[in-house]
Formats: sequence, C-alpha cells, structure tokens
Amino acid sequence: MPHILIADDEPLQRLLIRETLAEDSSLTFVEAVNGLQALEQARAAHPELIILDAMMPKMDGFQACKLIKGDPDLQLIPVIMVTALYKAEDRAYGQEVGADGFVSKPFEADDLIAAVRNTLQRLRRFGDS
Amino acid sequence: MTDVNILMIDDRPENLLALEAILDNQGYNLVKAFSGSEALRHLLNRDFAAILLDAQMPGMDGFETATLIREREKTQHIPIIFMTAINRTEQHIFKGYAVGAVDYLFKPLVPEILKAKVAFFVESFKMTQENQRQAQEIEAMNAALQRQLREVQRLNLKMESTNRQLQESSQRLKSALDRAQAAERAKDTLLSNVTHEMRTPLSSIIGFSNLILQRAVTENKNREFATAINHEARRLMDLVNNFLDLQKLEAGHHNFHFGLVDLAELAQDVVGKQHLDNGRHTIRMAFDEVPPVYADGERIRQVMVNLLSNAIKYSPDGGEIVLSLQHDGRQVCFSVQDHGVGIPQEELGHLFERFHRGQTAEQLRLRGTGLGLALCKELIEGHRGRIWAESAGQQRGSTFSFALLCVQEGDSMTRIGQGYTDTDTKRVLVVAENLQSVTGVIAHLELEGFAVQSLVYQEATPPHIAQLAPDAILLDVSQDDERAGWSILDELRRYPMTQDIPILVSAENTDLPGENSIGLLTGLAKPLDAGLLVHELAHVLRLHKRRVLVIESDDLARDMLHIALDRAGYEMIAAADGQAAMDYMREAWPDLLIMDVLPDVDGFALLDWVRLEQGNLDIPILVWTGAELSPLAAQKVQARANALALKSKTTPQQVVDLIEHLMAVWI
Repeated sequence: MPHILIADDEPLQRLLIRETLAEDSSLTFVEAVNGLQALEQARAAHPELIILDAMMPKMDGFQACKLIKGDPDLQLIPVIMVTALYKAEDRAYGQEVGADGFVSKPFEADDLIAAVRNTLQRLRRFGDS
Repeated sequence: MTDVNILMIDDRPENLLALEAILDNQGYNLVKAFSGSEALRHLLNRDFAAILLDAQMPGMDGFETATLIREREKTQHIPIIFMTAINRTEQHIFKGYAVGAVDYLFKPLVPEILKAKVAFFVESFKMTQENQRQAQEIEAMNAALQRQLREVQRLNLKMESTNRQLQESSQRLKSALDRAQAAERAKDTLLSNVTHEMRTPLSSIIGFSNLILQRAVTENKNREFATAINHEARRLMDLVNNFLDLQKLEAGHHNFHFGLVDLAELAQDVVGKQHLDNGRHTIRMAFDEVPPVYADGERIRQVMVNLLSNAIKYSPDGGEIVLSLQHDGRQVCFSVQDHGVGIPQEELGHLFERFHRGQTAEQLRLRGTGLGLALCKELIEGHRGRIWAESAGQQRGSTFSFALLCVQEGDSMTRIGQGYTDTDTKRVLVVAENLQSVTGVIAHLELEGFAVQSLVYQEATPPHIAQLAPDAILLDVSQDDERAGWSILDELRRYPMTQDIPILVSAENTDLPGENSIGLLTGLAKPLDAGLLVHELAHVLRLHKRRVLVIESDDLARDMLHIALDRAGYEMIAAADGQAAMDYMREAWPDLLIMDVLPDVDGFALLDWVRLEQGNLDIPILVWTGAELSPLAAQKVQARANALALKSKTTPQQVVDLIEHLMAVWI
C-alpha cells in the first residue's frame, strides 16, 4: 500500500494535498510540519513518496530534500516539491537538490495527481525491471 | 608739425631769424620768444626738447630765466643752451652752468655746431620719451598681470568652494541613492514575501473549491472545505489590508486622528465585540483607573483587537485571558495575558518583524498574515509608544503589552520637569533623543538667561508641548534616530496648538522636509554653534531685530527700504557707499546685506571682499539695482549674491518679502 509523507507547515495545505490525492483510496499518509520532522518521518516510516513544501520553519524543503537524497537509505524515495515559490530559479534549485518533481501553488488537482501517479509508476517500473 | 619743440629766446628778432634759418628743415618745431617771461608762458603750455637762451636780454635776463625754468619741476630737465656774444670770461660761463645751462654757444654762431648740439639734445629727449613710454607700458602690463592674477586667485577660491559644494552634494546624492537602493531592496523582499504569502491562501481557496466542485464529497467534507475556503479568504483579506496599512504607515501617511482616548472604555468595547467561537476562553478585565491618552482611538482599537485575537488563537486549549490597564503617572500600559502555547525565548525579539514565522504557529491549526504584529508595532510607535512581548517559554503562556504616554489634567507639569514658572520669559524647550547630548547647549542657554525645559523624543508629544507652551523649541534631530526627530517636527506642525511655535532644528542633514513656514522654522547645521543658536533664538523671540546693511547711494530708494524694513521688524543700517559699508563690516556683521551698484568701489570687488577676503560665505546678499546689467554682469552678480532684483521690477515691499525668504532658507 503506497505510503506518502506530506511535509507542510500549513495544516490546511496538508489537508488539501491529502484530500486531493484521497481519490486514490489506496494511498495512506503520514505528515510532518517542518523539514526536520520530515526527515525523521522518512527514516521512521519509509514512505514511497515524499511531498515537501519549500518554505518551512526550522528546516526548509530544499534542505530536507538535499539530506534525503544524500542519505543512502532514503535516496531512492522520490520527492515532489509543492511550493508557493514560483520562480524558475526556485525550480532549478529544486532540481539541484535532487527533487523528482515540482508543483507550484496554487496547483490544479489534476497536476498534483498526475505528478504523484507518474512518479509512483516510474518507481514501480524501476522496481519491476 | 613734429612733436619735437625747440624754444628759442632772444630779445633781438634778427638773432631769432638767424637761428631759425640754421635750424630750419631739421624737422623741429621752432618756437620763438622775445623775452624770458614770454618763454615761461610757452613752457607752461608745451614740452620742449631743448631751449636756446640768449644770456643778455633787457628785463629778465637769461640767467634769471634759466633759474625760473630750473625751479619748475616740469621743466627742470629741459636742456638749456646759453648763447652769448660777450662775457666770454670763465666766470660768466660758470654762472650760466650754475643756473642750469648744459652748454654754451658763442656768437657769432657756427651753424654746424649749433645744428649738431641741438640734434644731440633732441636725440636724448627722444630717448627719454621712449624710455618713459616703455616704462608706462611695462607698468600697464604689470597692472594687467596683477589684475589677472587676482582674478585667477578669486576664481581659484571660487572653484574651491564650488568644489566643496559639489563634493557635498555628491556625498548627499550618494547617501540618498544608498537609501533609495536599500528601500528598493526592502521593497523587493517585501513584494516577494507578500506574493508568497498570498499564494498559500489562494492555493487553499482554489484547491478546496475545486474539490467541492469536482468531487462528490460528503456533506461533512463539504462543510470542512467551505470553512477552510472562508478562513483562507479572510486571511487573504487581512493580509491585503494589513499590507496596505503598513505601506501607508511606512510612507509616513499616519493620518492619525488624535484625541483623548479612554483605554478602559475602548478595551471593554473590543472585548464586547470579540467573537469567542467556543466556550473555552474566559476573559477577565483587571483595570486600574487610568488617565486618558492622547491617541487615535480607532488605531489603538485595531492593536487591541489584534492582540486579543492572537491570545485566543495561541491558547487553543482555552483558559483565562487577562486584560489589564495600569499607569505609573507617566504612561498607561495595556496588557493581554494568555495561558497558551507561549513563545520560546529566542523568538521574543523577532515577533514584531514582518512575515516572522513563529515556531509555535506550526503546531496550530491557524496561521495569521505574518503582518499583524508588525502593523501593531508601527501603530504604537506612530504614537511614540512602546510594544513588547513576554513569555516564560513554550506552553507557559505569553503577555503582549503596549504603553502610551498619558495626559493628566492639572498636574501634567510635574511629569515634565518642573515646567516653566509664571515669571519665566524667554521659554525654550529643548527636545532631543537623549538629554545627555544637549546638556552643554542647555547650560549655555540658561547662562544666557533663557528658561529651559527639556524632553526626550518619547515625551515630546504635541499635547505635552502645547501644555508647556514654550516660546521656542530647539529640536535636536538625532543621527541615530532621524526618522523620529523629523516625525516630531511633522507632528508639531500639524497639531493646532503647537503649529505656531517657532522651531529651530539642529540636524546633520540640512534638507528641511516639507514646506517651510517662513520665519517659524530655522535650520542649524551640526555641530551646533551655541553663539549662533542664541542669536537665532533671540531673533525668533524678537529680542533683537535683525540687522540689514543697506548700501545705497540713492536717498529715496534708501528711505523707501527703511520704511519697508522697519515695518517688517528689521533694523536697517544705511551705508551711502562701499567704503562706509566695508568700514561697518570690519566691526560687525549684519544679518543680511542689500546693495546697489556702488558709486565708489566696484560692486563685484565688494562682493568678493565679503565672500573671499572676509570669508563670510553665509551672509545672504541681495543685489537690488537700477542699473542695466549685461547678461554677463547679471551672471557675475548671481555667482556672488543670493538674489538679484531690479528696481524697475521689485518694490521695496517685495524686497522685504524676498529677504524674509532668504532668512528662512537654510544658512
């Protein structure tokens, strides 16, 4: 059962992401309110996918992504950044720290769903082969 | 006609004829005289290269004539050749030499000798003339060089001062540019923050409304999503409102409507209207009896609402919220205390920054705009009050407080030093960021007989100052807190009871903001010159009249100016010419100089004398002239004087208006 970690300091944003993805009833969620907590949760829960907000207190999403991608135990978990940052350089920075996808807020439900679905499918194909 | 004159003197016409015959055609202008006295008359009228003088003449003889010629300064160097037929004795010859003869010729004359001697003297006369001409030329060249040298020196000095001014303005320009750039950067950061903050609630609004529209969700979910949309839309609205408010405040558009405000009444009203969405909170009001404050009630209400809703928001488990009011005789303090999530120590200092994200906020279901407390700070500081937060730490609750200066009827004077006594005249109020920096100035003013009171910025609210009712205010604009200093000036100018009090501003930055109310605002550059301060104070307090030195040779113009100046409260010192003016200025400086084109000395020379030789670059100079000035001359005047007015176009009254203006602008 695909397990997804959602890290966002905004409770309503976590709710929105959860509800947007909830159409696929096979998904289950675990949440974090900052980058540090996201890292802890990733280690504890070994999710199949991590959704990170960029601007979070204590540790931001970029830093968390970098640490996840630098951790041999976690680096294969795909990371999608969902963020209100919208500039090209933010997106480029996301790629630099190893994010597998980038979705801008406000997002269309279909875009987020597609990003999550594609990422998960890539992962499965990789796992199957 | 040549310029070489030869004077021939003989009582006998035939002798003169003989001389003429010999010297004719030599290119000389031959002048004949039949007696010594006739010769002297010729000598008065023109210059001679040589004189041929007959020794024996009836009446005034040759020797007497020669003596007289030698006695006159103008003629003493003209060579005299004696002609004599008799007296060939040596004694006679010596007598001739003794009275100034340079040579002797004996009759009968030998034409060649006569011609040669005269030619020799004429040559030497010509050489002398040439020498003199050259000497004059050299002298003229010398004078011209001297003039040029002086002009170069003057231009040098002028250039140095222009250079200094340029450097100063470029310095000023640079710091203005730096400020503008810093403001630009701050604006960029702010915009990017605001954009980011707007995207988050927008994301919720769009996302949740999409879920409602596109999915068949349960009634419960529908309600949950609609609530989220509603909440986020409000947050967006608050963000926009707060942002606009903050922008206005920072641009200096306070638009506060000051009045006496009863904080207890205001707080009760705020509590009454506060929507408590669950029964978990109780609100207790612990109000001491407090004096009113001078404030904008609506703005203070805004702050109270903000603090109270924060207290509710950050104590999700409910509990008691305590509102309190206290005063210490000087300030009234309002506090909101909750028993909520508290604030870690390291965050206390950053709470009032824009878009600061509290650690505690992340644990809660609700988030603010990130601007609420920043706005509260601006509003309270706009009242020159203080706002702060205290917390014993996380989960230990927090207390937010603000303090405003209070107004107390009757005994307000006791709070501001002793106030002035009824017998005080010359009341001066010194306002400074800290009083230590002005103790020297205060001591000096007291020595000069002024009654001095002093306030620090926080105390210097318009109502307090109105109560003190000083005759003049010295506002020291601190380098550390320029903005506060200038805003005091601004407030004093807007408050009806203080707007007519003359203010002397001592500041680093010499650009007075806003419009100058003529005569009521005087700028003093730092470092403050105590003598100048006393002088300016004396003027604004009308203790002595300002002295205007008028250099004017025309009696009527002088009298008309005198009347106009007198009426405007100036003392006029009249000088009929440049010399008299310079004599006066060697002893004392007037406050202003009015001059026309001068009868005795060159006006430019006088201007340069004042500016360069006397080094007085500050005294305002007005040239009021009836002379037709060429464009070049007008330009030269304008380079030296502060203003140029033409008598044909400017009445004496307009001249006075002009000098009021010159006096009001920064010296």
